[in-house]
Amino acid sequence: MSLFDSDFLKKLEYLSLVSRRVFRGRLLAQRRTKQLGGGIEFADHREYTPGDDLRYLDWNVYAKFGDLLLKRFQEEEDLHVYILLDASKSMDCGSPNKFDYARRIAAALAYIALADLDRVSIMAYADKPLDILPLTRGKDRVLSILNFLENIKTGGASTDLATVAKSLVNRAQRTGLVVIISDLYDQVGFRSGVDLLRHRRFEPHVIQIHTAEEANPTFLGDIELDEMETGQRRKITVTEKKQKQYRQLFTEFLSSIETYCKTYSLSCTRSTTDLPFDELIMRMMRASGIQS
Amino acid sequence: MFEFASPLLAWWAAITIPIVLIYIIKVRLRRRPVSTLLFWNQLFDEKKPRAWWQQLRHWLSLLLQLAFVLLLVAALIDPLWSWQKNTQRRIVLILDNSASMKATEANGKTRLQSAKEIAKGLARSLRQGDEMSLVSAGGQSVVHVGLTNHARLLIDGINNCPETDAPSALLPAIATAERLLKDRVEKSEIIILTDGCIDDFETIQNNPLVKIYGVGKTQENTAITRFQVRRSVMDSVGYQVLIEVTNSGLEDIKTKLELTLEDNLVDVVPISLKPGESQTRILDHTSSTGGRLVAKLDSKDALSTDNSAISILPQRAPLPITLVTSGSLFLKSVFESMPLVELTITETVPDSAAKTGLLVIDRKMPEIVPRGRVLIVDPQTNTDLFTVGETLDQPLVARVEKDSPLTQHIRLDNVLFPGAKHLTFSSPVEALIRDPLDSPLLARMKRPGGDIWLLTCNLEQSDLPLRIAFPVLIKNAIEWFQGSEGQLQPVVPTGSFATFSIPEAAEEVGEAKQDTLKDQPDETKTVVSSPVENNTESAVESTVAVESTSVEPTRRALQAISPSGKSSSLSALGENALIGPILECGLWTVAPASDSKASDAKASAPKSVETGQASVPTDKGKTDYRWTFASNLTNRSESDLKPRGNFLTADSLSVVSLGGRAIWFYLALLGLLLVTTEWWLYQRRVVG
Repeated sequence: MSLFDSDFLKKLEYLSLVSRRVFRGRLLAQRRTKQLGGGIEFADHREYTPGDDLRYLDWNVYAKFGDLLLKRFQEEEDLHVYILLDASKSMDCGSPNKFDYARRIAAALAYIALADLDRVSIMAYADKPLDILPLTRGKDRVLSILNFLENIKTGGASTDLATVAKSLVNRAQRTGLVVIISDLYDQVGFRSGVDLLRHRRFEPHVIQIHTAEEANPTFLGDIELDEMETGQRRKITVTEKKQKQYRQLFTEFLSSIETYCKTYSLSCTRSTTDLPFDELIMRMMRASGIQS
Repeated sequence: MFEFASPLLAWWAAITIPIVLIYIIKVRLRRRPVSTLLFWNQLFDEKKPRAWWQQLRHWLSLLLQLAFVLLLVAALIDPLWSWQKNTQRRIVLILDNSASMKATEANGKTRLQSAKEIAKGLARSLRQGDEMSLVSAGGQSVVHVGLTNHARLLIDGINNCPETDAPSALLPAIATAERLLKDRVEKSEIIILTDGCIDDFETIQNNPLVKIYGVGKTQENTAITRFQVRRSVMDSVGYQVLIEVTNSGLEDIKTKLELTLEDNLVDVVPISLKPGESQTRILDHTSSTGGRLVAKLDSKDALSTDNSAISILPQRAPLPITLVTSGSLFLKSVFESMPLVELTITETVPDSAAKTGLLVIDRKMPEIVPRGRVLIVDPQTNTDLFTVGETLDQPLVARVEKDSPLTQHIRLDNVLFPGAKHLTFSSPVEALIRDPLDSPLLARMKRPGGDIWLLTCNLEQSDLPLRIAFPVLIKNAIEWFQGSEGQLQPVVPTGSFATFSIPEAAEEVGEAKQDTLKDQPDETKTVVSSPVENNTESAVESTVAVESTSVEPTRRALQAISPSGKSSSLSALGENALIGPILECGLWTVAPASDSKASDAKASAPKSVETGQASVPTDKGKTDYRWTFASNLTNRSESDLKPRGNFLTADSLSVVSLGGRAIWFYLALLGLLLVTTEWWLYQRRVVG
């Protein structure tokens, strides 16, 4: 079975119908921003100040009440969606495979964005960008995006989101929504990278993925652990007590990410790979109040 | 301090080298890929073991494994204490399984059970080259297991050593042990496990080979130490019971003695006894029905065996006597004066005597003497058994056979038997009273159809009927005809022998069986089906010795049925047999081996107990007989549950045997403990 089979595509279509609005776009009649300007949809009034464009003066109010109020319209724009997909070796583990799961989520989000006439760019990264799909728009580009995702392989060295974020900032023509799909097993890099994106007025959205085994390891006894990203090995004796400490440490790790995201009002979604990807998307929609 | 039984096996210690190598090679662990070491690094770097032993935990694993191997090797080389270096010990263990060993101690175990536990520990502690034998001393000396090194055989023998109700027989057991050890006395010893309720303590203690170990402590006990029943001299249906009760404890007791006959209460006697005091009572009662007479103490003490005693009171059935006479007043009077006689007087001679009765013929003799038991007085005509001759000239009593039961208690010196005839018999007779010319005046004749008692004397002319001797003579004749029917059987103490008479017409063993027994001596020791199996030596439980009176004694197959229902086969020669030593209290039954009803009758006891000996002619001419007798402990020495001397305590014997196991066992056990600990600490998680 290929990564994106017909069932997967049906689910994407369903998600697209369900999500009337996931992202804010710039295209007229499709997306509105909080920016007020030359749109067609009335937003509110403000007092006139000298120098304002008299075309937006509300003459009806002036005629009735004698107040000089300026009409404000909600400016609509299309959205640039940048999907940062963690393709480091640490993602290539678990059952179901963590990287496959991440690619499905990326495909789903890209499909929904394209369906809403937004622009989508996908960047697979590890210590640096490994593969980049430039900004593209139109639903007819879905297949090329799926092909792109299907052909991505894990590789590279240790994850370094800061470097990747710097690269994205330099490359991006405009700011937009940055969806980071990763296991985030790079705490320092992760924070500095997200901070950079925030500072450059991107809107980061973090989707953290991990397997159940990572959260709750079951092995005991003398064992040699082999880290997939770096090839580093470590001999340890795992006891029940150590297992308990590990679980506590992992929970603290998740909590720290959650706290970080709350601190900066970032959207954060966490899931294990055993949760169906469409369920995860639905959960994200519910969290943002788009779908109930 | 240490010697080693198998030092060459120490080479097994070399196995520690591969263990160390394996431990080193163990660095190649199971490998498991993980997405990140981020958390594991934090876990193991940030929380380093603080205690010193945590640093050594893997070394501890190695040390535990090495200690396990070394302990196993130490167990293999079998270390011995210095006192154990005298290998090839030879021990005869005498286990006292007498009645007092059935006493229950405070821990709920009997003394014999405790002694068996100690004995099994001793058997398990045997080393290579050691030998041990097991001899029991309850009532008799029985070798259960000969000298062997096989601990399992010894333990089986100890387990199968039965309880007995007999007094201890330690001296015979020691003699047996000495015979077993006689070929090599050095490094030999005789270990006695007893409760010390023996009277021969000093004799035993002086034996240099003997070490006596005591089990049990002084216990309160009240016992029936004497119990006999006899027929009353005043009343033919009466009986007297002699009972002695002894308090061998250390406290005053008040109890009741109940006497029951076939479960019907006969008498209750309150008894108060001070420590060491005995009371003897003689109780008079009457009964013609007979049955089991049981005396029972209403007392709960350490030993229950001696709280009851049993005896058999035979049934006194009336004897049917048919008197054929034309009017002999003397004969009529003498029989009517006899108690328990049903007299029938007739003038016609019947064809045969009643089956269980007696036919008395006065003067008028038929040509053929009737079958059955016949008493003939003053015969006048010839018969098929004798010819009547001339009247004797001087029918004066010249000689009386004093040893015959027919002439006991009478004095007939110079008494005249007028009208006595000279009789010529067709077969040999036993003349009991003779005249000066040796002509028989009173004779008895044995014949297959029934014995004959014959008196030639005209009672009308003689003064014999006026003498005291006449009713005594008739009474002797009746009792002789009756045999032992209705006689009180003496109670047999356990540990002793019982004698009984076998009727002549008893069933004989088949010819084939006789052939197999021809080579045996007259006094035959018969191995009864012993409850103890695997005996390497003969286990003599019962012995039948025969007092043969015939030239070619007949061998008979018998069976003895114990009170607990166990059947043992016996073989007897002649007419008087001896069975014993009796090891069990209660009612014993001896019957022909072919009598399958004997055990059934035992099983349906107590109501169907046949008392005494019964001889019943069957249609085939054989005799179906059964003999029942009672056996009681009635032994002061066994009932006194106080040790008679200072013995070594059995606990010290346990120390000698290191709690019942050899050192190698404990080494192996410790090794097992270590390897279990190591597995629990280090390997359990790997398995999990």
